[in-house]
Amino acid sequence: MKIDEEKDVLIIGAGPAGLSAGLELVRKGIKVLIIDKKKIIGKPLKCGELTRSFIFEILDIKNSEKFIRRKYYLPPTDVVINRFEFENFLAEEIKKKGGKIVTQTVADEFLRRGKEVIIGVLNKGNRYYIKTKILILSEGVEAYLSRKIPFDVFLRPKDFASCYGGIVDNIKVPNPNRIYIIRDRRLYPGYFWVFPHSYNSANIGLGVLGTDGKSAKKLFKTLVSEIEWLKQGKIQEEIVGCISVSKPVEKPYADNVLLTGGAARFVNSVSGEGIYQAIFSGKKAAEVAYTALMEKEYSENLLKAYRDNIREIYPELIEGFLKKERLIGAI
Amino acid sequence: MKNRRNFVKIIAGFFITGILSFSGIRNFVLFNKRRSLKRIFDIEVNDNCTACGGCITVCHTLAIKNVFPELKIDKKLCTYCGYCEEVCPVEGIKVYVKKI
Repeated sequence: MKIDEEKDVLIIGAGPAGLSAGLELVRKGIKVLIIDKKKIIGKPLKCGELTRSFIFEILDIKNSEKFIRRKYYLPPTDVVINRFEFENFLAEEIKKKGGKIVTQTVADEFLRRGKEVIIGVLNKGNRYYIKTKILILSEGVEAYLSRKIPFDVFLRPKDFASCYGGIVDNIKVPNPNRIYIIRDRRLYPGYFWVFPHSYNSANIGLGVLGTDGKSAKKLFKTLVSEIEWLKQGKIQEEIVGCISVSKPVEKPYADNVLLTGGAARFVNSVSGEGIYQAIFSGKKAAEVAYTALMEKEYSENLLKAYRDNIREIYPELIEGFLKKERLIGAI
Repeated sequence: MKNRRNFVKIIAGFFITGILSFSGIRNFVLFNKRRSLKRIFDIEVNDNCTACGGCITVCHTLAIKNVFPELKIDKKLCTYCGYCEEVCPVEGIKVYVKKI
């Protein structure tokens, strides 16, 4: 087998988790390679963009105002960010410091060779093989390669929520300084969200459990036509996405591999919030990867520290999962 | 006499299923069953699809792969369980019965 490239750290997926891990590593002077299947980072939009302003502190970013679309007065989830701008800013930072980001590349093969791993990638129909010492997986909810390794991250439709929405304008928001969560019997236990950007534009959408049998798009259309102040809205940018509402992975590490963000199911099952968890876990994964590289030891025993470092996000996630199970009557 | 013959048949049936399940012929039978499913069902992605990745998440045999901006379905692996159709937000994927 021909090896096309050798790297210390390979990151799969250029979302919040992958980029924060990459940023942390390039700041410490390690040349990372990030691959992503999309053509443009941050497009298409897949979520409601609501998150905590604490993420800028985690990543140590000054003048964060340019990414913030709106600030609300309800901690902890108090800002709506512009994910496209934010992710591209992170990508630029990584490129400036010597990291490399390759788009339009799909990773779909995983092989072990002694103490290192080899990843097979597909770029515009051609296959390449990348050898790496540490692999950070941040593929988001899909977790295609993560399940091949294998991590126990299979989802049933019961643990899965599909979302549809959009960034709309031409609406009348009563109060743009708060977020609106609209509960409805047809969505239960999902909900309809309105995150205002101003008095006449907002990010609206809904999440509904996968087992419902009705498509999220249809539900969205009927619900929007029923709400008085959203009726005239025009969709500027469509949001189609999916959220894992499963419990977080017990063991997000294996030999040479660290699992972060949505791929490790670090998503709150009730609120669907995942950006903060992704960024936090991405940063911690990078720290552990750095110590592993310094000690030249990539086995499970050393990477175990990752699980201990992210211990603090677990209670909230497990609580959320149990609450969701109670809501759907599984417990 | 007839009853007794039926009884023997049932016992023999138990034996045969037991032997089959041990000898790997069961797998062969299942394989054929899946092949017969393949003759009945088909799966198709239509223009509504935005490659959001929902179907990939719930696909237990990893039959669907996201080659952005489209999906690639490996029909050898697909079991036609219909999970992908169930969770799709935009009705972009369909599992249907073939018309003969």
